[in-house]
Amino acid sequence: MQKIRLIPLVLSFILLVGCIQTKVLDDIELIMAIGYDWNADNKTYTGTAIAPIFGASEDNADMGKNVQYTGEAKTFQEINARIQTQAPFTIEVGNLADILFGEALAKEGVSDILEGINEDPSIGRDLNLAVVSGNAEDLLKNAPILELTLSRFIEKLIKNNNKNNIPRMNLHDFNYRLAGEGMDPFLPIIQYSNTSVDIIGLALMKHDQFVDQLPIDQFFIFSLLYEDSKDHTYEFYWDEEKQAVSIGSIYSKHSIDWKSDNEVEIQVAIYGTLAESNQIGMQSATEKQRLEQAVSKDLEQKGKELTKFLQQLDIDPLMIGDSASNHFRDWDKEEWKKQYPKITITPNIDFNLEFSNIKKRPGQRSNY
Amino acid sequence: MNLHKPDITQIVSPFLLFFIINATQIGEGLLSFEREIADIAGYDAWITTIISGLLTTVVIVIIWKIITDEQTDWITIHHSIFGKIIGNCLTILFGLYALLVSIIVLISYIEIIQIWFFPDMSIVLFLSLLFILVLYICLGGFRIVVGFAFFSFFITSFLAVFKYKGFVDGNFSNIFPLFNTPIQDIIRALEPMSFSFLGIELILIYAPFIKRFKSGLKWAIGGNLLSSFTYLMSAIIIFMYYNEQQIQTISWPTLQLMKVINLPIVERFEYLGISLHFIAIIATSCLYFWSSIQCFQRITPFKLRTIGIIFALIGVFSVYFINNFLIIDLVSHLISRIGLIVLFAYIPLLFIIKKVIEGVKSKNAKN
Repeated sequence: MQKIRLIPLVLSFILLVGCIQTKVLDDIELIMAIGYDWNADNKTYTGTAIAPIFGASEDNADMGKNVQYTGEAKTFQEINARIQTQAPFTIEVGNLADILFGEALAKEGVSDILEGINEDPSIGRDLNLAVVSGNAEDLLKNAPILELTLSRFIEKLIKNNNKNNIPRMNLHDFNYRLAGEGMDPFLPIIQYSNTSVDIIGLALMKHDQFVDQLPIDQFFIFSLLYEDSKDHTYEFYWDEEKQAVSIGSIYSKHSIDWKSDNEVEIQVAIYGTLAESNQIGMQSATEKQRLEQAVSKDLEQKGKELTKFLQQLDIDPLMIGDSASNHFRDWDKEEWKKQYPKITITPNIDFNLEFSNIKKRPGQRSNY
Repeated sequence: MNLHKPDITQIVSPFLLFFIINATQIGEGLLSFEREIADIAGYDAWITTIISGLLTTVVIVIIWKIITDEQTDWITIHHSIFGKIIGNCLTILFGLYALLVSIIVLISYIEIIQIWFFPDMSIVLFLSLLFILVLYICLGGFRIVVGFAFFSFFITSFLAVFKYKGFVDGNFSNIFPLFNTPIQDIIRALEPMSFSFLGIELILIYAPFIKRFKSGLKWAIGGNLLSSFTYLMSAIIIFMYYNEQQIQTISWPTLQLMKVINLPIVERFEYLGISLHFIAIIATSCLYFWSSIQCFQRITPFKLRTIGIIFALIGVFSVYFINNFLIIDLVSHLISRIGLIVLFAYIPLLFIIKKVIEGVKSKNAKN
């Protein structure tokens, strides 16, 4: 009797084994970065996927190498199917780290392809998006072999720059800004050369279309106005003293204050250090104050130019519209769209020098 | 009156009501209720969770007022109020409702499993396995069911901690301006919200199984308040993390939130989250399934075991009727509506009728 009872149990173990498709790590092609380009002629996307080569043998242990596949279709899943036709193993996108958009696609609009990416449950949300200056396919195929595999390199490049140069913009943040009202996303722009892959700017998007870019020297002011930043540096040319001073921001706090329904002030308080100042003596309170005021004034000027520029483009990456919608009860998105280019945005920047570096100007004695 | 005195080995302590109520309420609803309430009441919907928490507390107090005797349950109350035939009909209706809830909870969980893990998995096979488990737990007696509920409480608490990510990355200003939604909409959002608060009506079935039932009121209210608090925190965190337009595009906001959590050992936390949620689903389903077979066992001559097996088979074959996501949605809405009626209309009505009948009886007794 006992034995008879055991039979269905044993049988179920045997029968259940083959029910579901298995995914053995050695038998799948782990796609880690995908780049998309737009073909204007036949209105399709070209997807280029790269997968790292995990040493098939010990001799082949060059970790930087990867294998590339391309497919051309109108939807994300179909591109994957086309890529599959070239790959010897089942392709898996679960470990995707970067999604790159070619410049032409970014100008055309990325939301269609993102829709497909968002629908796939196996794709995470903490992955990096970037716009490639030129073609994404060229970058993925021709980029030089670096110390990491290309996908990891781009991932680390963007993640590390998120700490001290550009605000973070992962897939979730991008979706958030794409769906929400009164906000627009932005993305880092990357470019490859014979020796490296670099970030060269910030792509400003209008809804999902790339409209203009910010150069590297505007990253500091953009971060200040956008978020509470940490550990950024800024090179400031002090006109009165005719020299460049490097300012390090330890941290900055920002808040958006509505004065009236068409007048807004972005309050920023920076707590920073003087990172390179061997030419300037910083010995008395008045000198310190003079520098603080000069920096604040300069940044306010830059901030004003930046907000003007954004208003002219009619885009809102600083999320001022979102702040308005949380502030005013009768906020209406249609009305806001008309109003936004006309409102007055005043950056109010307050630079506080917490400490200077240890070096003193030769021959100068302390006044205290 | 046909009183029910369960075996002493099946009776549990009153403090376990805290875990039972929490486990029945927190189930599949936790993964998606934010979207549904935000659809109606916008980002003021978190107020709805507070209101429903308070209302359900009132319902719990009413239940304690209905059950005056330790050995009464819903079936005896139905008998004493409506007589044998109508009373039994109402009990059968309730039993079927409980069975439907236990099935839909499992099926909607399988839907998630299919989407996330195994699209090619046979749903009938997996559902059979789940029902074997549910049957095993339920036939083991009420203590086993409660044991599972106790276990589920810790799992859901553990998972709730991982919503911290929304708190870290979100914008708190999303929920402002407060009270910008008309009050009718906030009230209307009670309907989808009540799906997540369902479970307290089962007290009427398992009341005889609680030792010193009267003293359990504070534990029951405690359990209910804890689930309301969980829902409130969950709603606020999800509202912080997504904006009002985005949340409507996402089926399971909590699972998408877990996608962003990267731990050194788990790159994608939602896989762990879905798997652990299994325990919570099974606990909810078991309590409903047990209540359903208990209802039928009390009014028919059949044994618990026979009814259990028949119902499990019904459960497995129901998949041929509830076979796509639209029907799952439809049935979930139906259950929300029935639940809303049972909780906020039927139970208070039962209380009033019972009071009236008692009043009439005592008046007659005096004359």
